[in-house]
Amino acid sequence: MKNKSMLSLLLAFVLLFGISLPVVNTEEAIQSSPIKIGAMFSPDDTLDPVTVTSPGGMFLMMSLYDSLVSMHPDGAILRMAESIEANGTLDAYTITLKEGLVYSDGVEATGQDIIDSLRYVSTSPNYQSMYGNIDFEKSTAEENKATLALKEPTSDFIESVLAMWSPVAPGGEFKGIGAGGFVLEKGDPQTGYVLVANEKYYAGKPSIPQVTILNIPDSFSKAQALQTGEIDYAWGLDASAVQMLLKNEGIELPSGSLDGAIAMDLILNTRVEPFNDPEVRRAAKMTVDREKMVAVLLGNYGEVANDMLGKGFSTYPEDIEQTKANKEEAKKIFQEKGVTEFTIVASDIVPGMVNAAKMMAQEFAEVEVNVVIEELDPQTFFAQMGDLFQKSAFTFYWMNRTPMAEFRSQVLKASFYNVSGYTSDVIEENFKKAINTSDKAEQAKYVYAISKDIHDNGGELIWGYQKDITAHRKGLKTELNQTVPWLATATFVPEQ
Amino acid sequence: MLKKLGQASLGKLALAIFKIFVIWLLAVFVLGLLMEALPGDVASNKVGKQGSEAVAALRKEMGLDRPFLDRFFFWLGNFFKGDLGKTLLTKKDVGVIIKTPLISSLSITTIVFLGLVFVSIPLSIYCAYYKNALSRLISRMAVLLSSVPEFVLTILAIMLLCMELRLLPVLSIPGPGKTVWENPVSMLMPSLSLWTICTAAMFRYLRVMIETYVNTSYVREAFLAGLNKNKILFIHLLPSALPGIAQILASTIPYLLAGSMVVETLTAYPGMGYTLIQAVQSRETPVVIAIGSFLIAITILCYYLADFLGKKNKNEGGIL
Repeated sequence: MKNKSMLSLLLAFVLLFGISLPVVNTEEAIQSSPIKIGAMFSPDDTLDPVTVTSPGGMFLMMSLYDSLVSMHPDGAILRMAESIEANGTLDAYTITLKEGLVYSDGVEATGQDIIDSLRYVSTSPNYQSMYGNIDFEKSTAEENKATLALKEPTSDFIESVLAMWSPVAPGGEFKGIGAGGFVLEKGDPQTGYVLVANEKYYAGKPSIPQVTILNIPDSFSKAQALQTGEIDYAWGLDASAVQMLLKNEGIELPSGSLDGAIAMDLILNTRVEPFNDPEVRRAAKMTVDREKMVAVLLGNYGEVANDMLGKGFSTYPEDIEQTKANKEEAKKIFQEKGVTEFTIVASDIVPGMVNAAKMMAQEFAEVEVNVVIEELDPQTFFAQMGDLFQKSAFTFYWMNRTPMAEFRSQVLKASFYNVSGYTSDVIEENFKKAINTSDKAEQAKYVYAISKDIHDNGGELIWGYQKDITAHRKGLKTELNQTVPWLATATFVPEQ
Repeated sequence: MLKKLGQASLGKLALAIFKIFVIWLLAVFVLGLLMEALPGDVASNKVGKQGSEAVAALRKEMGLDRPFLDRFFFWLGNFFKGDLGKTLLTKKDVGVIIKTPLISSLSITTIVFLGLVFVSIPLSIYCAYYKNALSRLISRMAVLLSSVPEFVLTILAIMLLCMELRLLPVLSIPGPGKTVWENPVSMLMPSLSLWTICTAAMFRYLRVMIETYVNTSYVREAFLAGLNKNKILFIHLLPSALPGIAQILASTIPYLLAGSMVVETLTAYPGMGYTLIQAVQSRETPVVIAIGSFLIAITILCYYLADFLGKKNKNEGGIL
C-alpha cells in the first residue's frame, strides 16, 4: 500500500509539474488576426456535448467548454485542472481547478460543476464507456475541488478518460456558457458561428480575437475557399483537395497527427468460421500488403498499421514486429485449413472502406482465396451489428487513442465495442494488473503483453492509419487535440 | 342567378381545397411510411454499436417504440396547432432548424423562377419560332449544358466566376446568424447555377412543344392567311401553349426547393436540399416530414395551378 501511495504521489507530481499548460501572455506576445474556419455541421447540432455529432459541432464545444485535461502523444496536458491526484488505491481522483477559474459570464467554476458536468456527459451512450466507471453518488466536491470516486481502480483514468474530453459547464448545464477560450456571439449550424476571445480565459485572453466557423460540407469548396482567402483554415479535407492546395505557396498543409487518426480495420470475426481459427487469422494478416494499400488508398496522409491501436502515443509498443505480407506462407495455411472463400461486408462508414475491401479481395485472390464483397449502406451499418456478428469479416474503423483506452473498449469481455469477439485470459489478467498500478514501467509491460496477444492472435487486421487532413494559411500556429485545433492558445499572423 | 353562380364557384373551390388536402395528407403519410421502411433509425445510428438492448432503450426513450399510426397522428395533431415537433436526438425545435433553409430555398426559388419566366421561356420560344444563326447557337449551347452533369456544371461555374474572374465568392453563406437577404450576394452563385441547370433542362421540352404548335393546322393557316408573324405567336400560339409551359414550370418548383442538394453542397448555401438529405441520413423523421409536408403542399398547389390554367384555356377555346 505504501508503495502504491508513493507511486500515486509520483504520478501527481508528474501531472503537476511535468506536463502542464504553459500560460501564454498573448496581449504582449503576438497580436493575431481573426480567423475563419471551414468545417461541417449537422443541421440539428446544439450546444450540448451529449448530442453533438458533427466535426464543426465538436470544435465549437471544445472552444466553449474547454477540458480539464487534453491528450498529447507524450501524455496528458492539464487544461482547466491545476492538479489531479490519485489516492493510494487508484479508485479516487481529486481534481483541483485552476485558481480563480471563472466562466465567460464571470461566475466562478466549482468542484460540484465538475461532478455535475461529467455526470451529465456520462448519460450519453457515446461517453458511457469513458465515464461509466465514475461513482457519482460517492463523488464529493468542496470549493474548486472535486473527488471522483471510481467503481474500480483505474491507473489510466487521466489519460484514457479525462484527457479524451472532460468539459465543464455551470451546474452541468451546457447552454453555451463555459470556461473555454471563446465565447459564443451568434450563429446557428446552418450558417455558422461567430466566437469572440474570452477575456476571462484562465490562460490569458486568447491571441486570436475572433473565430468564425462556417458550415462547409464539401471538401472541394473548403479547398477553393481557402485559396480565395474566404477561409483561413480548412478542416476535414480529402486527398483530391490536397493535390489542389499543394500548388499554393501561401497555404500550409500540416503532415497530420496519429492522435485521433482513423485506424482502418478489417474485422476477422472470431465467432464464426473461418476466422474462429487463430491460424487462419494469421494467414489473413500475412496476405495483405499493407504498404501497398496505404500508398494506394491513403497516400501521404496514411501510415502503415500493425494490427494494434495506439500508434504514435508514448505507451504504444513499437518493438512488436511489423506484420509483413508473406503470401507463400499464407497460401499454405489457407490450403491446409481448406479455406477457399469468405465474405467481407464492406461499408463506407469512413470513405474508402469499400475500395479497401476490393483491394484486399485482389490480395486474397493471389493466395487462391475468393472474397465475396457485400456492400452495406453506411447509414444502416451500426444498426446491423447483430447480423454483422454472423458474417466472417467486415470493415470497421477506430479513432486512434492510447493503447489503454483502446483496450477498454476493444478487447475485454465487457468491452462495448469488442466487435471481433476476441479476448483472452492474457488480456484480462494483464489489463487488471495495468489498471491497478501507477508504475509506468510496470504498466508498459502489461500493455506490451496485451498488445502482443492482440497482434498475434486477435481478430483485427488493422492495416493503416488515416490522418486527418487540414490546411491553413501560413502564419497559424496551433496545437491539435485529437485532430481538433486548440485555438485558445494559437496565434495567427497571416503572411501577406 | 349571380348568387347561384357564386355558390357554385365556392363549392368548386371548397372541393378543390378538400382534394388538395386529401392528396397532401396521403402523400405525407406515404412519406412517413417510407421513412419507417428505411433500415435503421436514429436510435440504431446512435447506439447500434452497443447492441440491441441499448438500441431498444433509446427507441423507448425517443418514443419510437410506439406504433407508426400513433406517432403519425400525434405529429399531425401538433402540426395543425403550428407545432412541427422536436428532433429525436437533439430535442431541438424542428421549426427552428428549417427556418433558415426555408427562407434560403424560397428566396432562390423565387429568383430562379422569375429568371425562367422572364428569360428562359422567351429565349426558348424565340429559338423555336425564329430560325436564325443566333437561335441555332443558343439551342446548341442549351444541348451542351443539359448534357453536363449538375455537379460538373456547378464546379465549372465556381472555377470560372469565383476562382478565375473573382466576380463572386466561392462560399454562398450569408454569414453566421444572418439570412440570405442580409447578404444578397450569397444568393447569386446558387441562383445562377440552378437557373442554368433548369434552363438547359427545360429548353428542349419548350422548343419541341413550340415547334409542335407551329406545325398545327390552325397556326399554318394563320401563316397562309398572311397574318403578322408576331401576332400569330402572341395571339394564336402562346395562349394554347401556356398550359404546357405552366406544367413544365410547375415541375421545376420541387427541384428548386429541395432537389438542389448538389448545388447547395458545392456552394455551401444553407438551403433545404442539404437539410433534407442530412435529415434522411440521420433518420430524423420529424425534420423529413416537416420539410416534406411543405414541399408536397407547394408541389400540389403548383400542379393544380398549372391544371387550372389548362382548363381555363380550354374553356376559353384554346386548341389542343
